[in-house]
Amino acid sequence: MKRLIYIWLMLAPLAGALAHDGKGRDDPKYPVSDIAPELLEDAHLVIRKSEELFTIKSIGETVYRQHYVYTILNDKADPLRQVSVYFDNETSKVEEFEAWVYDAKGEEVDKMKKSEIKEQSYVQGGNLFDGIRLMYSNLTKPDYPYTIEVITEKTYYGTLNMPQFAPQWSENISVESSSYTILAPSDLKPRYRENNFDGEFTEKIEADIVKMEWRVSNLQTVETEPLSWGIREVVPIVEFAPNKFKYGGYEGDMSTWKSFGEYFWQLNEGRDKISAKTAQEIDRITQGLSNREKIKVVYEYMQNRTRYVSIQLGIGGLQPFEALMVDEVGYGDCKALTNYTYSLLKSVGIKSYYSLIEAGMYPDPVSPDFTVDPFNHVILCVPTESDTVWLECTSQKNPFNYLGTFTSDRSTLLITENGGKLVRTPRYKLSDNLRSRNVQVKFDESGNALIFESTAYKGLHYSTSYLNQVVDQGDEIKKKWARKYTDLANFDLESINIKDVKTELPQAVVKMKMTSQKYASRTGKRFYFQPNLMSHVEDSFKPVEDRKSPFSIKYPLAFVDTIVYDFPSSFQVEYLQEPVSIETEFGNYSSHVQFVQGRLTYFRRLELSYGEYSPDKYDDFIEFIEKVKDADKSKVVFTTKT
Amino acid sequence: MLRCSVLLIALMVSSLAKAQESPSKFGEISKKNLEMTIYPKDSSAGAVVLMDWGYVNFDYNFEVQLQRHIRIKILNSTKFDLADIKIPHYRKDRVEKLEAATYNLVNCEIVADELDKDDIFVDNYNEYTKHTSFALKNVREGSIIEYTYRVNYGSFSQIPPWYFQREIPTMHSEYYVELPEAFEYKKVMRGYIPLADAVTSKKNMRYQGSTIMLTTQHYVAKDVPAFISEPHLTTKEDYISKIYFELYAINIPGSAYNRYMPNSYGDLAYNLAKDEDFGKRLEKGRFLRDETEKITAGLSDDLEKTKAIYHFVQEEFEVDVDFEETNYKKIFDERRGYSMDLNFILIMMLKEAGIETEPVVISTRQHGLVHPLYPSFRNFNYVLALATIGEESYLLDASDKFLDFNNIGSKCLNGQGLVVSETNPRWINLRPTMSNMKMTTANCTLSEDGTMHADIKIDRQGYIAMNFKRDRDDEDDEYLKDFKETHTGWEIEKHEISGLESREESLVEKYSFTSEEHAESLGDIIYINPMVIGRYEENPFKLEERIYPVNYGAPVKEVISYSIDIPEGYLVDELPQPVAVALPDNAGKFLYSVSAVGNKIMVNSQFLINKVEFSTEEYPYLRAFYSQIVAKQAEQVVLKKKT
Repeated sequence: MKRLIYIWLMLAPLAGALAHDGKGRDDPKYPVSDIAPELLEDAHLVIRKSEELFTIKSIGETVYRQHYVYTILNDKADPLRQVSVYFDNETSKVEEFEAWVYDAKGEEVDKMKKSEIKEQSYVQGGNLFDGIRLMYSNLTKPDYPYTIEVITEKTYYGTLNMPQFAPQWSENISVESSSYTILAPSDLKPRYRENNFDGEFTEKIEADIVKMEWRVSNLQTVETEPLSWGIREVVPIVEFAPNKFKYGGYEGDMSTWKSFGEYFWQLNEGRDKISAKTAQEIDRITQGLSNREKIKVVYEYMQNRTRYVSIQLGIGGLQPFEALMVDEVGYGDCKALTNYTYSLLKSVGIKSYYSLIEAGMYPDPVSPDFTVDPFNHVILCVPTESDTVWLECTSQKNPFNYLGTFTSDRSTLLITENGGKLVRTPRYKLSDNLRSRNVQVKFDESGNALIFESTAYKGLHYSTSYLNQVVDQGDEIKKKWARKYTDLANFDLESINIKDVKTELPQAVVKMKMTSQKYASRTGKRFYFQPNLMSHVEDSFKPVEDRKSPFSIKYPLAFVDTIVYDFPSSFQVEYLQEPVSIETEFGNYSSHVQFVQGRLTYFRRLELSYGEYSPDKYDDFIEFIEKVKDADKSKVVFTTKT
Repeated sequence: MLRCSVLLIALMVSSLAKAQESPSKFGEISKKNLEMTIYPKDSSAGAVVLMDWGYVNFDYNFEVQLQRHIRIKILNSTKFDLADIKIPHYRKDRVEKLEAATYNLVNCEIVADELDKDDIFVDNYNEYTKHTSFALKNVREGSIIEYTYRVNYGSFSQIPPWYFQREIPTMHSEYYVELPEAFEYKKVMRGYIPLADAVTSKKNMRYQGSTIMLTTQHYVAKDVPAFISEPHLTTKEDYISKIYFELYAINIPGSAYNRYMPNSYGDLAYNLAKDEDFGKRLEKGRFLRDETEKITAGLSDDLEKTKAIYHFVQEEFEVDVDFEETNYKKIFDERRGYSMDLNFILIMMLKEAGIETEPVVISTRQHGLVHPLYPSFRNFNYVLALATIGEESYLLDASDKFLDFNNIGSKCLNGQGLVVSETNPRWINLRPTMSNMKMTTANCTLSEDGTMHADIKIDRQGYIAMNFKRDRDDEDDEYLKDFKETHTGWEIEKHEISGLESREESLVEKYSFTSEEHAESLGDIIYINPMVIGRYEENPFKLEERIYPVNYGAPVKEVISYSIDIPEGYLVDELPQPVAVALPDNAGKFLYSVSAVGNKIMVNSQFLINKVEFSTEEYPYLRAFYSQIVAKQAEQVVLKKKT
C-alpha cells in the first residue's frame, strides 16, 4: 500500500522553512566549533537548525517547506549528503530545491546546481508500478565534519498528508534547534497530539489565520531501548491531522474515526461487482454450507485464483481496483484483494468489512480520541453468528482466520456503511502458541548420535518458523528449511516429513531423522554432551542504564521438550546437571534430567507470558533470560571403560 | 563513438536474410509441461525456464535488435514474482511486439489469458533508463507463463549479453546472433556449464545485385542447473554461465578497415600508451614540477624520492567518486578525484622526479577476471603505478590510505595486470605480497568454580589488518560496542585496539574478560574448553560437492598460543591428543597440541592455507580438513581434584 511509503518518508529527515540565511556569501556559516560539546556525544549528526512550515492554503492545497542545516560528523550520517525530495505527479509538486555544503570552518564549499539534480522513479521493493518519483543530488563531500544546508518546498494537492514533527527521528542525532510551524485558515485548523514534547508551543490568530509553532532546542542524542516500541518512546513527536480534508479529488472528514471511515466507504463504493460467471461459481461451491464454511470456501477460492502484485494507481494509491478487474486478471494489492474477497462474500449474502490496519510485529498504538492515519495494510473482517473471522487476503498460503504477528492484537478501522468503527483484532493465548518436541537419541560407542525428532508447531510457532511456506513443497525445500532452522551445530539430515494438521489454529508436525557425528565429544575415557539437544534461547538483550520506557512481551510463547537418550551399556554416568526451576512474572522455566535403567530423559519447559512491564523490571528480565541460557547449556558427563 | 559509415552499408543492402524463428510458436504449449508438478532434475526448484530464446540481428537501418521468447513453468507460489516482469532498457530503445500470456489447465483444457496492452506500464525510470513492466494474469501454481518482445537498441556497437544460467534451472536456452560478416565481434564465454551446441555458419544473401555474407552464431545450452552462490567466490559474474560480445572490427569491402579492438593485449597496451586521455596525459605533468621538487628536496636516493612522493599522494588526496573532473590541475588543487586520477597524479609526479614509472591496468576481484584472449578495454577497471629503480620494480596504489609502500590491496589480487607502455607492454603478476595473518595469545587463570579470567592479545597483520583498519576508521567505539553486545555472557574488563589510525603501526587488539562459559566445575572435576577464543565451531563448506573453485585471495596464517593456570589442588586428568593434518602438496596445514606443564595448560594451534585457489577436485580435501579442525577444537581438558 502506498501510504506506507508516505508515512516512512515523513518520518525521514524532515526539517525546513523560511529562507537561506541572509548573511553575506563570505561569512562562515555554522562552524563546527559553535556546537556545544554535549551535543557531540554519541552523535553522528547534529541538527543545527531545522525549520518546517506547513501552510494550509485551502482544503485542496497545502505547501510544505523545509529548511534544514545538518552537520555530518562521520560516515554513518554521510548518506544524508544525498539530498532528495519525493513527489508524485498526481498529488504533489516540487516547488523549490536548493542545497549548499560548508566545511568544518563554515566556508561554503559547494552550491547545488540545477544541472546536478537528477530525477528518477521510486518504484521499490515489491512494487511493480507506482507513481512516486524522486529528485536527488549527491552533494560534494568535504572532510568530516561538514555541514549541509537544504531548502525544499512541495505543494500537495490535498490536505490528507501532514508530516509529523519528529526532530529526532533516530539514534545518534542531536538537535541545536528545530521548529515546526502551521499556518491555516481557522476553519481548517488541524488537530494535533504531542508525545514526550517538552519544548515551547505558541498559538496566535491573526486575520483569521491560525499560527501554531512547536520548538525544541539542545536535545542530546537518545538510545532506543530493547523490547520497547522504538525510538518514539523516548523522543518528542507531534502528530497532526486535519478535520475536513481533500485527497485525490474526494473530500473527507477526519475529525472522528467514524467520519474518516466514511471517506473510505466513499472510495470503495460501487467497486464490488463481479462477473456473472464467478457469481455462479461461488454460488455453486457454497451450496448447502453453513455461513462459516462458506467464508472458508470463498477464502480458499480467492487464494487459489489470485496473487499479490503491488500496482499503485488512482487516488494516490488509496482506492482499490474494482473487483471485476481482479476477477479478470487474478492479481491485486492488499486493497484490491480484500475488496475482491468482500465482493465474493457479498454475492452469497455474507456481510464483511474492509479493515484498515497497521501491519508488522510492533504497530503504533491507536487512540480512540485522536484520529490519524497510521495504517499501511488492509484485511477483511467477517462477523458470523458465533465469532468474528479475520482474513488476510494477500497470501496464497495463509491459513484461514489466521493473523499471526503481522496483524493480531491491535486496533483496526472497519469501514462500514455507517462510517468507521475502531475494533481490536484477537490476541493469541500462551496455550495457542505451543511448540512441543519429542526426541529419541541413540548414541554409539564413539559418541555419534542417531536422532529421531518429532515436533508440533502450533499457532505463532507455525508462522514464525515459516512452516506455511514449506508444508506442501518437495523434499529438497523441506530439507533446506530444516538445515536453516534446526538448532544443532553439526548434523546430517536423513529424512524429513512435515504434516499440516489442518486445524483452524494452524499446526504442523515435523518429523526428522538425523545423525550427528560426535555429538558427545570425547576426551580420553569421558564423553560430554548437552542434554538440551536443540532448543536454545538465542536472544540477547543489552543492558540499559536508567531505562525510561516500559517493555513488553507482545506475543506469548510456550516450548516443551522431552528428549530420551539411549547409550551403549559400557557408558556410566559421572555427572548429571542439577534441576533448574525459575518462576518470574515474565514467564517460567524448568529443566531437569532423569537417569533410570540406563536411559537418560531430559525435560525442558519455557513459557514467555504476554505482558507490559515497567522500566525498572528490565534488569530482572535480563537476569531471567541469562539464567535460562545458562541452564540450557548444562552438560552431562559419562565415562566408558573402553 | 564509432565513426562508421552506416549510410554506406545501408545503401548496399536494405534488407537482410530471412529471420530465424523461435523453436516454438507463441501459444504452442505442451499439456505435459502444464501437468508437471515437480521438475525432476531439481525438486527444490520453484520454477523452471522451459525455453529462453534470443535472436539478434540487424534491421533495415542497421540497428541491432533482439527478439526474445521466454516460457517459464511456475511450480509453486514462491516464484510467483517471475510473473511480474520488468524489462529495463535505454530511453531511446524501442520495445515492440510485446505479447504475453498465462496458461492454466482448467478441467483438462488449456486456458490462455493474454496480456492486455492497457496493462503495460512504461516508467521513465531516470534520464537514461525506462522500464517496461507488466504483471501476467491469473498465475497459479502450475501455470506456464510466456512472453515475447523485440527491443531495438539503435547502435550496433553493443550486442546484448546472454545468460544461459539463472537462479532457477533452465531446460533450454538458445541464442542466435546473425550479423553481416563485415561486422566482426569477439565472443567471450564464462561459466562452468558445457554448451550443447555452438555452431558458426555463413550464408550468402543476394540483395540488389550484390552479395552479402552473413555470419550466424548459434548457441544452445540444455538442462542448466540453477546458479547457487557458495562461500569464497570472487564475483558471481565470473562463475555464472553467459556469453557476451565485443565489437572487434568493421570490414566493408571497398572501404577502410575499421578496427575497434586491438589485435592483442600488447596492442591494447600500446594504444593506451598513445592515447590522448591515457598515456599522453601522463606526459603532461609539468605543472607538478615545483611541488615534486619541494617534496623530494634534500633526497638524493631514488627509492627515498619514490617513497616520499607516494606517501604525499596517499596522505594528502581523497578518493571522491562524485568528483567528475578531467582537468588534472584542478584534481591536484582540490586534492581529490577517482582512484585512477590519484594514481595518475602519482605517476606524473614520479616521472617529474625522474623515476621511470608506467601505469598498470587491472581488473579488481569485484570486476571479474581478465579474459585471456580478447583484448578489450572493458576488461579493466583500475589503474596502478609501476615504478622501476635499477633492477627493482615497485607496484603502487596511492588511492588506498592503508597500504604500505610496494603493496596492493586485497581487492587487486586478481590474476595479472597489463603494463601500459609503447616500447615494452607486458603482463605482471598481481601476487599477494602478504598473508592474512592473525596471532592470538591468551593468559588465562581458572578458578575452582569454573570461572575463567583471560587476557587476550590479537595481532593482525597483512590484508586482514589493512581491511580491519579501513572498515573501522574512526569507529572503534562501534566495534567495541558490538563486541560487547555479542558476548553477553562475558564480563569484559577492558578492550582496546591500537594502531587503527596509522598505516605504519601494527594493529593490536587487547582485552580481558571473565566468563563462566569456558569451563564447568562439576564436583571434583572441571571440564575446560581449551580453545578460549577463535575456535572453528562449524565447517564453512556445507555442500558435499562444489561446482566452482574456492578462492581465498591470499594465504592465511593463524597462530594461537594460550596458557591456562589451573586452580590450586587440581591435576590434569585428560588432555586432547595432539594432531597434525595437512592438505595435499602442502596447500594447507593444521597443527594442534594441548600439553600440561606444572600447573599450566599450554595450547598451541597453527592453521595455514598456503594456496590461493582450490579446484573443485581439491574441494573434498578442503572440506574434510575443516571438519577435522572443528572436531579437534571441540575436545575438552579434564581436571581432577587431588585426593
